[in-house]
Amino acid sequence: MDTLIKALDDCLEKIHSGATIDQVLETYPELQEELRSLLETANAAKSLRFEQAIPMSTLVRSRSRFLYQAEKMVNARQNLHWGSSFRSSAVLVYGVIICLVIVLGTGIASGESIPGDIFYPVKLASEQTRLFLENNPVARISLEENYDRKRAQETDNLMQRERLIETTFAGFLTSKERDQWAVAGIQVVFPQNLQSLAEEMRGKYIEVKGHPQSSGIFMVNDIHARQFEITGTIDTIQPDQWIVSQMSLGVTSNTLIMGQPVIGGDAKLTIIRTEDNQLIAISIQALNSNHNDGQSATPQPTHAIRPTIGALSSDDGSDTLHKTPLPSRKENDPAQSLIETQQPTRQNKGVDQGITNVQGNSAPPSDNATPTKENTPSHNESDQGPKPTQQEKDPGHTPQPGAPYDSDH
Amino acid sequence: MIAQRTQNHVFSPIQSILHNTGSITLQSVLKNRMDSETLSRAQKLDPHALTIIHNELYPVVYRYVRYRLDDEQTCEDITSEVFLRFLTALDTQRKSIQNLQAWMLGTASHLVFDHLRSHYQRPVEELDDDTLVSPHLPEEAVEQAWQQQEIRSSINKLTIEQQHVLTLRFSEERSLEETAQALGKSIGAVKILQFRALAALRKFLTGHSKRGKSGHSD
Repeated sequence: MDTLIKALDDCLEKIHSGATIDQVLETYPELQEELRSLLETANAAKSLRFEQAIPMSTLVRSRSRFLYQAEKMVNARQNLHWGSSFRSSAVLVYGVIICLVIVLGTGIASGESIPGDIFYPVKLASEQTRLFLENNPVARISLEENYDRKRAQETDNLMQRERLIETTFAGFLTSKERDQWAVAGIQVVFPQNLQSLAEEMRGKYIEVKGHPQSSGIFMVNDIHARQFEITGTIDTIQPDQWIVSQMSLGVTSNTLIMGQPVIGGDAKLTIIRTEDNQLIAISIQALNSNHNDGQSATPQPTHAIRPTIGALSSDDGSDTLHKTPLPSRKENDPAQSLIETQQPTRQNKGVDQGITNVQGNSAPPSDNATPTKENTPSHNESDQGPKPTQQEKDPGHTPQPGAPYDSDH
Repeated sequence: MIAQRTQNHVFSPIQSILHNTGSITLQSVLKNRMDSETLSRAQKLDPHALTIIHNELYPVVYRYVRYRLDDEQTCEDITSEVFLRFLTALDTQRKSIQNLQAWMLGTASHLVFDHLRSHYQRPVEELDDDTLVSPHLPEEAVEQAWQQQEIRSSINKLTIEQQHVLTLRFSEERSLEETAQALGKSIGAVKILQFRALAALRKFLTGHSKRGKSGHSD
């Protein structure tokens, strides 16, 4: 069989080259009969070849039909593309609309919510987000005070609805008569142990924490100065007034200065508002480590201020006043006065954590550990670094940034 | 000269037709050219590329179909349908067509096979000899027409693969290599397939011949 197949192929090739059947069969005499019939069949098959010219009219008709169909497909592809693009766009638009409805609906719903409502956390979260996005210190303080007014309004609503849950709000502390106090226009009552503290903070911008009463009175559990934290660029440094990001701030001898703030450098400040509506810095922390002349970026306190008045919570739950004399208190120093009225020593710090920003666990109260601006050694004075203070001698009391003072000890 | 023109891609559609005279060298050059760049443009339904493909391959496909079918109108319809199927394939087939000419001839083979099968399923009234052959044709032409009808009838009794291999080999004298490429088989397999196709065709033609002789003797 293989021989016959090879012989047939060979014969076909020779015939294709011009040989006749008889000529090629001479090569395969033993297969002559079989091959002849096959070659004649092949010749018969070849006779069907279409030798004529292809009519041009058929080609033109076919080409027209071919290109017309292609054009239809191109249009279909474009429609599909636009259709899918439109569908994608429509889905996107619907998605955005749904998100807007949800966000705006939730925002609107949360806008009037008060503590205890489902949407109240949403309201607080949106406020925090807006604060986070606000870089201008003046606008940030204005925004925070606006939110303080909202908290006060919410507290008023809580009392009207007799929803007596713990809340916090801020405002100026005012009193018409003795023992008749109001914060942001809401009548508040201080317990006996906070009476003297309230007297000290009269007229100042404070924050109170407590429970509203159905009688329209707010029972205060905690009181401290309202603090604002901002970050800005130092424009001007004068003995008693700094300008930070075009905002004028009072700086006293009791202002805690950490690091070496320089003009043009960034600083993080903790600010309070006094009864005469002035802003006083109670701490300034330099953020630009490039100006430390090779010193560690970790801010080191050049002032150490400790509050001398605070409410201590004893183990048995009773609050007592803790007083420590200030070594160099200035008369009419609002920063000194307000700092003194902080309550950083409450043992239940979890309660205070949200409203007290400068509490910490640093140095014990000691005259040696409270240097003034003048007697504090500068980092530039000696290559050996600053003289060790009482805090540095005790590693366990190394001051932490943002926690410069404490009165636990 | 032709090779230079091909390399420079200066063929107009009409020139392509004029030069597509069955030269194996030219066909292979054109096939490679289409496979590489024209086909990629055709997949984007570029009219110019589609025109080139149509004009260059229409004669090849038409001759293939005409080898199998005698009716001119049916040949034109089937050839045109091959190119429409090509457009559909461009739109639907994920795998690109590697050998366009082989793909088109394979499609033509299936369309012819389907046409003949449907034709057999719808038997028409059997025509007598006077109807099939015009009385005005000379006797030699009548005899040739009869022979061709018998041959086509016998080829149509082969398997679709045997029909395809005979058409590829004898409609345009394609070489074993080209036939093997079009069929996607080895040359050895094509030789065997060709041998079996010719042997089967011989058998059917012999049967026709015997029936014809007996018919004439009756």
